[in-house]
Amino acid sequence: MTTLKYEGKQRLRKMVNGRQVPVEPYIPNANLIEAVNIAIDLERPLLLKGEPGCGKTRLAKAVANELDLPYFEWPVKSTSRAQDGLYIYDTIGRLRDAQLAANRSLSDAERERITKKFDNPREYILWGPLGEAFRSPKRAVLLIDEIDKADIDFPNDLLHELEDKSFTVQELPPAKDDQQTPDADGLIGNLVPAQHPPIIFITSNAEKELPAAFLRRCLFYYIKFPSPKRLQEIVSLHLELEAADEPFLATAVAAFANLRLKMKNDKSAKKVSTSELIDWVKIMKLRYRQQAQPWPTITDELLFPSVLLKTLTDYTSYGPPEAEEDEA
Amino acid sequence: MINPDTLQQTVQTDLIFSATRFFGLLEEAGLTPGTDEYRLFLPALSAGLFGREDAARVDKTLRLLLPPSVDGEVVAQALAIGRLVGQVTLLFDHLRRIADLPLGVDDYLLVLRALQKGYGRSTPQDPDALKRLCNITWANSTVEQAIINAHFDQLITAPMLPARPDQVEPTTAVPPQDDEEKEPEKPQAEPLLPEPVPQPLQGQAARPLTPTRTPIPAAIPGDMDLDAAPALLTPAQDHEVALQRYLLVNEYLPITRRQMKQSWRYLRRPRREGPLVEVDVEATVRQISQDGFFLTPTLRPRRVNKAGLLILLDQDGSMAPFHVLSRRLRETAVEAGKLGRADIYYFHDCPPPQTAVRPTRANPLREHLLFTHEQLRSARPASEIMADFQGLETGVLIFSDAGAARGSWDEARIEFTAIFLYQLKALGVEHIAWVNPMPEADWANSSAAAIAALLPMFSMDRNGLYQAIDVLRGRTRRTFTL
Repeated sequence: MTTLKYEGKQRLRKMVNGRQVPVEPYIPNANLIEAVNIAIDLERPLLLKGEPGCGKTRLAKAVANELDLPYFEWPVKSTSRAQDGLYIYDTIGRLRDAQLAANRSLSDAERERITKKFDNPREYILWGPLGEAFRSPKRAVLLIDEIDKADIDFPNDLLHELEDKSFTVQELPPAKDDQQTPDADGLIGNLVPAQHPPIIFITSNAEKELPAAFLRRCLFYYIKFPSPKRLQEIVSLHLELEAADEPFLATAVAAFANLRLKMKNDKSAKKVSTSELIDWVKIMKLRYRQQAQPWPTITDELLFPSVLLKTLTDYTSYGPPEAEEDEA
Repeated sequence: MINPDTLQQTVQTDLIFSATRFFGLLEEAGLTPGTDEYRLFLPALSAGLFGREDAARVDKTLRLLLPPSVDGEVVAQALAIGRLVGQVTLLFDHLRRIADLPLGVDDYLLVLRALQKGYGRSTPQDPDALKRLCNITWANSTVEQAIINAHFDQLITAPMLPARPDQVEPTTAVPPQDDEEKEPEKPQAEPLLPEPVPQPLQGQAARPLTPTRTPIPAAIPGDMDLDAAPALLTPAQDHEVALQRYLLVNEYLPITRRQMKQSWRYLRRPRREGPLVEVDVEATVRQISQDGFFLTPTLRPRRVNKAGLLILLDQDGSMAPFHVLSRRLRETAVEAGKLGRADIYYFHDCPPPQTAVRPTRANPLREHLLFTHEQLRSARPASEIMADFQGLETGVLIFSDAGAARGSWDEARIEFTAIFLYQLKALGVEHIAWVNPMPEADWANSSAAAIAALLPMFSMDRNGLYQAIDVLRGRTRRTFTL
């Protein structure tokens, strides 16, 4: 296997089917790059923690983009089960097809098509993201996003699959004795072995504690919130700003950092995060720069406060003084 | 070539003695160990000696041990690798035994494998590489990172590798087949300085080269006072955790938050109720076989938990040290319990009878009161509280030391408790369990013993809480006797 090495390179476009597609920029620091490479080399999942907006989720995509690997995302919900990540078997669909095949009113061609589908039990497997990552002919990048949202035993249910790097599809018959290597569907009978161990990123917001047995199998990295300098780089790359815009951007980021610090000291429910900063600068870019006007001056009074302030308390504490409502 | 006696004078170690014996035997057998053998042998020996003796003396001894034919550079490299592995081993051992981190052999090998692949090799330009590697592989939270960093700073002095790390691999704890990986491997770390012997860093120069064995405060002492903050560690610079002056590692309680959450989920009284949302496979199959064809799946309501839980927490006084546990009970039951209803009420020592109400025929004993607030405000009579649990199968869990913490015998307390329990029973509560923060051995000769005779009482640990919940589910034969 060729060695993969993530370098955190910046690339604004990539070729997909002969077309240039914009790639979301991601600026990791050196330690994070090292952590990613350790995870790749040691074939261990990398558990990422950090404040909202520090870039936990986007890292996986950035790694997949740079290394040109297939990317699978598994957004975990409160109702997610570990099984859903592997596959879902469409039992009802199969039952419906069985009924249809027995139905006389269908045309022959139609019936033949359904019978053919029915005869192959594999047709009814819907692969989950982990299943897809295992079956991928190239080493894949898998993001298990916000793992702590699910039930507290969810991570434990994944242990076996992550450790063995294989799982079985219960609905299929087991392999015949002579089959050793996976067939075209990536299956040995009912066993799905990982063609290549996927590069797994797991994010957690620490809503619930994760089980110790699971944590022991992960590498851990805490992503710090970007510094103002880095924020400036991030915004500038995202919005494709020019060097001439830098002085304005610096003041905007400073105002943002100031607001964030105030919110932190006030123990506000929610601190402003990176994506909100990007939106904020973006709206100013749309309203001023692209209307051929100079950038606005950032003062204590926030412009476009609705982009940054999301609760009534925040609005009253940091927002503009209450404007008089127009008498209709 | 070597006189074991001289060596023994230099360093009193069995390991050195065995090594000299070993090489002596080799020579007697007419075998001359070459450079390659030393390459394999030295790091192991060096790692084994690390931490036992003064590093400089170990170096000196090992040089004495070797015939002059062995290349000096090889020795230096082997020694440095040995020292590195030795330091990792030492740190690992400390983290396991003193900091009580749940690390296994697997974690240890993981670091060695990463070292082999070129990570964690500190250089003067990048002195923290090994520390970062330990953080990534061994920590699961920022708190653990801070613990690791604190121990690292105490133990590890100069985690440097010499010039050509790709030539010599740390062969101590890694299986021999890894040698195959040597050839294609390039040092992936930043270019290393052509400096054969590790030098202590500028910042670390003040520290003694030998690892200091000053005891670091243990992170999780088992028998610590519950309200004392045990671990005072100075964390490293990074992260939010480091902004605090000290670390409070609060997992020293007899039961962890996670274990509590897990136990609540045994408290289940599932009933199907609500909208039809789930496919009833059996009924569907039955329907198909009846009709001869499949029309639509038969649906049924989802299962919901109809278990109610009323937690009564003893506050203040002798319970003050256990408020951490009370709070944890409250948080886990309400947050993660997924119970039909979970309410918390408070009392002090025992729920007091209503004083403002005169006993009547209907209420001859005067109902006892429970408080909605931690500060024992807003009292509600028990019957009113139980009315909230209409339609649920409710169990009552009482958390109190019942006088065991101070070892006192309080007649009034026993009597009031008995009356209160009787009232609960009269209100239709069938399952009541008591958890006591004091271990069972301490109940004797205090009111706790008398109260434990009235109802099932358990000490507050994992097993005790499980048993208490079994009582609340009606799974155990022992219920309360009044």
